Amino acid sequence: MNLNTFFKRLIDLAFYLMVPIVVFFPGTILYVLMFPEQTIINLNIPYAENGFSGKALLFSMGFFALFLLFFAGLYQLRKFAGLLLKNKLFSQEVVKRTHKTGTFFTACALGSLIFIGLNALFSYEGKISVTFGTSNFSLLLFLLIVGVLFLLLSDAFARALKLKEENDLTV
Amino acid sequence: MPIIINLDQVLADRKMKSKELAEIVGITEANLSILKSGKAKAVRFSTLEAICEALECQPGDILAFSSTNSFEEGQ
Repeated sequence: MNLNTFFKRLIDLAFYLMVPIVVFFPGTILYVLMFPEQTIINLNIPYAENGFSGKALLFSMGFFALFLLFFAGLYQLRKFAGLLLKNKLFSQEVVKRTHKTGTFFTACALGSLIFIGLNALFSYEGKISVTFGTSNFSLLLFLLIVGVLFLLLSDAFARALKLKEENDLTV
Repeated sequence: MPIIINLDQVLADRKMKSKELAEIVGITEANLSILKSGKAKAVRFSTLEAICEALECQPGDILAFSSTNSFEEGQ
């Protein structure tokens, strides 16, 4: 198994593991809203300790919207991995896919950073929380770096494509 | 492209076919067609040398510069 195949399989795995979240999340929230007294689902989201309030709903919707951005980025990355597997590295399609991946990841990371910042502001109780090791903040910062890297990669692929075209049209 | 390729004219003067020239020069007919149609972005000196040798001509007989073409492209 070469590296391209391994890359594609890894992304496929991550993608299919996330599909149930995309499919079932809205239904779960709807179920909790319709039956507030239910005991089957244990919600692990902030502001839902004393029932599913408007704040918790807002948090869930925000989280889901940001998750959709990440999922869209992963979908584009999956398409890019497919193109790599077909050996179509220098094509307009690769430029387009890497640009979209970068845009979605960057938007997701920036949105999430603002989101956790606002969340920290609203839930501030006079204590500063310090996380040692890999925190949400550092992971989101890493996602932002990956997003920007993909935007740069897209630019590099566009330049490479132009050079390849020039090379192909050199007699 | 302000550079015009007069290869068709030179070939007709020499009564030589594109296929023959491609064989002598050692390039594919597809590449020669790219050159003749003006789609080429660059020509290697080695290719130009081989074409001039095969057609017994000067580079200026094959290539010409037209400022009107570049003006039209700018528009």
